[in-house]
Amino acid sequence: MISVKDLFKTYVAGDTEVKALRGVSLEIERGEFISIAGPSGSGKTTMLNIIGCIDSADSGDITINGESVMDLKRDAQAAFRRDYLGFVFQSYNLIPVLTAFENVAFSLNLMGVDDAETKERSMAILKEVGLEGMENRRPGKLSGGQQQRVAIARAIVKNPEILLADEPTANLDSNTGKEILELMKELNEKHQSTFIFATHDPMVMDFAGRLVQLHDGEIQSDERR
Amino acid sequence: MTFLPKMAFKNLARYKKRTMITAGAIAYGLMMFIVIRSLLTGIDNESETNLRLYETATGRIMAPGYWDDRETFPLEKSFYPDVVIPVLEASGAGYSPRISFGGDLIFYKDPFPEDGSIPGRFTAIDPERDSDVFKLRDSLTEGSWLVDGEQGLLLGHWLAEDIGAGIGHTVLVETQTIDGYVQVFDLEVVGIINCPNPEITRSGMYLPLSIADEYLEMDGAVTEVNVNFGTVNGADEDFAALVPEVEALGLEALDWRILGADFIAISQAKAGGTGMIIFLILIIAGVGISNTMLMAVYERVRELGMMRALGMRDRQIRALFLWESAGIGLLGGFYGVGLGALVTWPLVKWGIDYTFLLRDASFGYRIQGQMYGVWNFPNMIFAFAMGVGMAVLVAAFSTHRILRLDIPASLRFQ
Repeated sequence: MISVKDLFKTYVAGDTEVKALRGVSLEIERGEFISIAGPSGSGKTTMLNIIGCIDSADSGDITINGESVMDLKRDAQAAFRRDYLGFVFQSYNLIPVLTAFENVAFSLNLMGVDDAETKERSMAILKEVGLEGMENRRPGKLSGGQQQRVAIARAIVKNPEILLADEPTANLDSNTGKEILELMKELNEKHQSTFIFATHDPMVMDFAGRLVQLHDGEIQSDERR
Repeated sequence: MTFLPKMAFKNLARYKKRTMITAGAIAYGLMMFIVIRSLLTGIDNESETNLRLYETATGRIMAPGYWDDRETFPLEKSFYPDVVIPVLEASGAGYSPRISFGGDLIFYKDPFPEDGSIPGRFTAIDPERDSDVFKLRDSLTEGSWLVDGEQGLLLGHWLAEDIGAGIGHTVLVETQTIDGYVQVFDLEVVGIINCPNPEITRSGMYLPLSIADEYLEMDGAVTEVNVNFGTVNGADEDFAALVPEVEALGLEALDWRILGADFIAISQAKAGGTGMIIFLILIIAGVGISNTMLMAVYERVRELGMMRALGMRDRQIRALFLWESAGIGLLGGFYGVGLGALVTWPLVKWGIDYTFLLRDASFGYRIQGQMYGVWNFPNMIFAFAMGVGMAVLVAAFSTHRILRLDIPASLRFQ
């Protein structure tokens, strides 16, 4: 379903060139729960960003459901992200002026879903992630774990084909991190979305059904469990 | 897409202090704009009225070439008013013949505080006809009006104060006859004029036409006939219609805009200068707005990066910030127009007394005493629209800069 072919990416910072990806190729099937792991600077976030159409590669190709996403124009990329992808960030990145419900509804608002359906789907997903009764709280009134649950709900509410999560447990204590991972695993099984994590957290790696290890921009190992 | 305006409103509420500061900067700029424009329009309107009521009337008929040489008071470029009076009477205009001449006003100690002389322009007027054209008689604050055949003199209030003149004081006038001979005659101060036109109050010297005719040996000729069609709409057109007939008589007819060219030029120059001040005020307000809008945008770079990652399009981001800036602009616009109206109100009702400024120096404007503002509603609407437009423009610029950042850079932005 996702085909990554010979991906190269180099960043230039002043006089220094950083080769973030050096010919990465990977096939990911629908519904996989996959961790891209590696130390800092290994290229895992870059790879996640390129799959998520928020960064571009220097060369190579990515096809999703047989369609190349590398040459999409800016607006088409935005529409693709809106309709097919969900994002979960390390620092939650919720909109502080919106309530938990509104943050979740934001994804559907962007898609132009009508108000009644938006409400129904948002409330259902908030219940699913264990935030029933907290819909009207703003991010500032939620714990880190609860905020990440809202972020997951925001990503999953639109039933994305792919959910991309960059270090989703990095800001959480281990217990909360585990809860979040269990929740994501559950959602993965229920919604059949493909979950792709970039992480260096061993607990996330343990949860993954497939572990791809990156080192210096190259795939070091690709292990299915 | 109602969620964008809703979110914009929430963002405005989130940054209450900054919203109020930015709206305050806009409000200040708009208030100054409204007040200055109100005063300028008031001054211009009143100056124009006072120019026409006390100096130029609707227009003036002169001998050819007189206007070009007017600084030298060329009495030889005079004409007999009888030539033109039938045309004026047929047109229904008010008219008043005058002789303008230069000379020295000489006065001696006792009753004057000290000896002295002042060079200046004397205007000989027809005491009976002058009120058909000018409002000088209404401005008499002391003494009595001129009487035909009597050697009386009316002085402007400030001039009289400066030289210590009072009613009954006698002065000498030294001038030249139409043939260039020196002539000296005495006049008695019979009245003091204090009119809304500072040029008259500062330097006006008026005597009866018959006295000037006698001492200047004009033999019935005058240097000008002033024509009045009133200050209502259509007056200028009526005068313009008269011009060909006057020119057919071999005379020259100039309207008040040419006669008051100094005022028109100064008014335009001042409008330009004031426009520059207004422009600077708006620039200052604009810098304030752009600063706070840039802060607003840069503070939320990560948030915007996240929104873009979730699929929000560039035009939706722009729309969000435009809604926010329009909200700030509307707030600033309402405050600015409200404050502007609040400050304009006493200016319209009571005005500002700036006599002290005008007494010793001429600024070209024909007003003295109170300087009044006027209600200028189109200007207020313009100011309001400008406030909103300025905020939106600045936000558009700031948003454009943010959208140039790629999404990963936005998400990493600290």
